[in-house]
Amino acid sequence: MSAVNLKSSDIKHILKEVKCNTGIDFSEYAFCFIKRRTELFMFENKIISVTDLIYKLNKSPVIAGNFLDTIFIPPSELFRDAEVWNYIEKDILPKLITKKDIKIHFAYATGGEELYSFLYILNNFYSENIKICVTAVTEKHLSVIKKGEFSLQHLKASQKNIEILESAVDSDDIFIKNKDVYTIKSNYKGELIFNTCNFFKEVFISEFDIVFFRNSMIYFNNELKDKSLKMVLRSLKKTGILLIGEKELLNEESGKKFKRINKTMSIYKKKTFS
Amino acid sequence: MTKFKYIIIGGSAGSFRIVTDILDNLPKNFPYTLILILHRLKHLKNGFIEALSAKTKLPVTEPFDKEPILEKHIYIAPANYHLYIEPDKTFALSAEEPVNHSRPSIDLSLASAGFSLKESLIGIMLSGANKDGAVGLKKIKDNGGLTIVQNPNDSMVRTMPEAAIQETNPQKILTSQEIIDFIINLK
Repeated sequence: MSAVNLKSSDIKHILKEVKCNTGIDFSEYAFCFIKRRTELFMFENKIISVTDLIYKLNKSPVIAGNFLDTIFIPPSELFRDAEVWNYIEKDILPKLITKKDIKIHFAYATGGEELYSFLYILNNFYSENIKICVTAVTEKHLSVIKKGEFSLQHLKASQKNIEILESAVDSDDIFIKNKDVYTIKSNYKGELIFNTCNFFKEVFISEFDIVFFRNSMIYFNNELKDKSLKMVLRSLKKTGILLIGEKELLNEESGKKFKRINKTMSIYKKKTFS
Repeated sequence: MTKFKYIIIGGSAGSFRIVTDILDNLPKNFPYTLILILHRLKHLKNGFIEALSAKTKLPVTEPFDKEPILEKHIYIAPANYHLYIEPDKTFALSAEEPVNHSRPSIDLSLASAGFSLKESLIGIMLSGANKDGAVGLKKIKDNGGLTIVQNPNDSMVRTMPEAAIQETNPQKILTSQEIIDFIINLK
């Protein structure tokens, strides 16, 4: 862990400079998370003072970019919470697939784990009607997601999930292996729409049948969480489905507009009158 | 009345027994908040809360993200998430990479609790097989909290308490029974 111990005023100062340099505003991120990630960044880059950090962020776009990489956390595993993926396969997709013009959104994506987990499950269905949209905050994230590359270490971290999946998963069937890099085969990539967007400003109105938004709000403070839930609500069709993280909750306002459709999983359906 | 309001306990291999003994001995009207950061298998989601709940009348739960921290409540860090304690006395979760091969990481929780809860916090490190928690415990001490480490001679696995003692020089080094007595007699 880092030897630097940043104060609240340091964090505010640093985030202001990051916003100036990158256009990305982390001021509404959860405080302790931002504090730890900033201290970790300083430790790993041998930066010993706030002044030094700000100098380097201002001087080098590469360092500013690396700082963003430290803050944006990709989903930790493929098929995280395997029981959720089993539920998607058994209970959500069989009903959804009969509809026309299905649209699915991976919102605020920071890695390809959720997308490729879904595409793997979807591969068991005939799915010509489905459009899949992936939005990320930066081009760099989209580029990483498009590549569909995972490390051996990443696959090992996901191994237990794969064992719990009801769909038998054969890694050789999904990935092309090159040394320790596993690349998703093109038949699992499908036709995808990739966008960068400011999720909190750009409006998607009543477009999507499913929005995947798992474990993003944990990094936000309450104000940003409220904003993001409003955007998600607007972006879903009536009776559209929202997936959030296992330990995330809706706020009071959104709670009235969604119905939980599974007792143990954080899967919600938008109420028709919302 | 003591200045302390919160107790955070970190433990790994060999700590489960003493944690259940602590819970077993807590009085019904125990007025503090107890936060447990224990290394656990990420895929075993059921059974852990139930096993701990069976030992106490106090509520035992895994916090949700942004949940306010309540007194007279026992919280256990959920599997496969890191658990932060925020200055506004709420929990925050994260799925960052494992720290010390662990998610939840004891270091990460203890450091944020030290920063956010200051002198109102007691940090306790128990038995375990790696060094996770040592640095976090020091952050508790640096922020004015009280630090306690289980005596390595009394620990099933001594690596974790030894690392915590070396890093922090805690105010107290106690046996498991002395830790239980300290907690239940806290006034």
